[in-house]
Amino acid sequence: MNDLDPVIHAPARLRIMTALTEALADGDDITFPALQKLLDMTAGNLTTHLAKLEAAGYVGIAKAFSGRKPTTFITLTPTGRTAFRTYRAHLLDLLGGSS
Amino acid sequence: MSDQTNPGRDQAERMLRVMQSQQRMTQSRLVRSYVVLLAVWAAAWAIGFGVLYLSATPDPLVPAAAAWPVFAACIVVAIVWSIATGVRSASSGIRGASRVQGMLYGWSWTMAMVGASILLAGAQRVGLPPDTAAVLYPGVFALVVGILYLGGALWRSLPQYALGVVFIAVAGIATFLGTPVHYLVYAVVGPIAMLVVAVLLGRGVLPLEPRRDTA
Repeated sequence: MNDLDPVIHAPARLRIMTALTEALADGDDITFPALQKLLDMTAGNLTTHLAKLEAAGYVGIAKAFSGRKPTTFITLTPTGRTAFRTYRAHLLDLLGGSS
Repeated sequence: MSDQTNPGRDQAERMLRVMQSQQRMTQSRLVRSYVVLLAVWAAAWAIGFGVLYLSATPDPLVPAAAAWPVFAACIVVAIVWSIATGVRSASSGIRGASRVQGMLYGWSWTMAMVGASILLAGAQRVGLPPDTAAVLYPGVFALVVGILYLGGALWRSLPQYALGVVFIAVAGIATFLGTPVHYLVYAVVGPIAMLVVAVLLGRGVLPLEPRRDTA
């Protein structure tokens, strides 16, 4: 299997997965606006790509109330974390294993 | 070998660059308020201890009556800035284990500093001479700062740990050198160490924590 994971292998989704991996420890989640700020992406663009990552089981999306305001929280699932690591290892492999 | 599912080297390199630049950008945004805080403390130490040094030399350039209020003002501004940074980071949009960790660590600083203040006030009450107090006060606080930074070990933060080692060394060396040179040591070495770490963190050269994906 030499194929790169097609779910992650798109610049926007790779950026989302990278930012989530960097920003979140196990069990952490991040609000939609905070993630949007980390990525400098439009809300529409981010929503579209998050939906694809959620469909693959890589991220969890939950709506909750923080105070009276409905807020969307995004978390990186263990599957997503593993998928990102695999993708990264794969990419480095393709480039000759140098980091 | 280069078809749609097995991309060529160019494409792989492009994706690696996308990943690396996002890593640096995320790291530098996450640590930005911490970097600013380090710079604020570096300035507070440089100005505060610098003024104390200038007031304690044999031929003082600044009257002691003016130096101590300046020093106190510098430290108060830096403490207020620390509290504001703590409050802001609690509403950074990230919830969960790392927020609890950050909150407890923040409280460790408050408790350690209050504890050190009480200990020193107690020592003065039982007759610590003013000359000794002038050396011991900054020494104890620098030592406590150093020990707290060693806590960076818990999240394998080498920059924090290195700062801790520097502060502990500074506290010991400055105390041995005595008045007024110890003020000069605090005014120069502490801020330089803080600024070096701040610049490296801010540029994303040094991550505050090791990359989570390689952990």
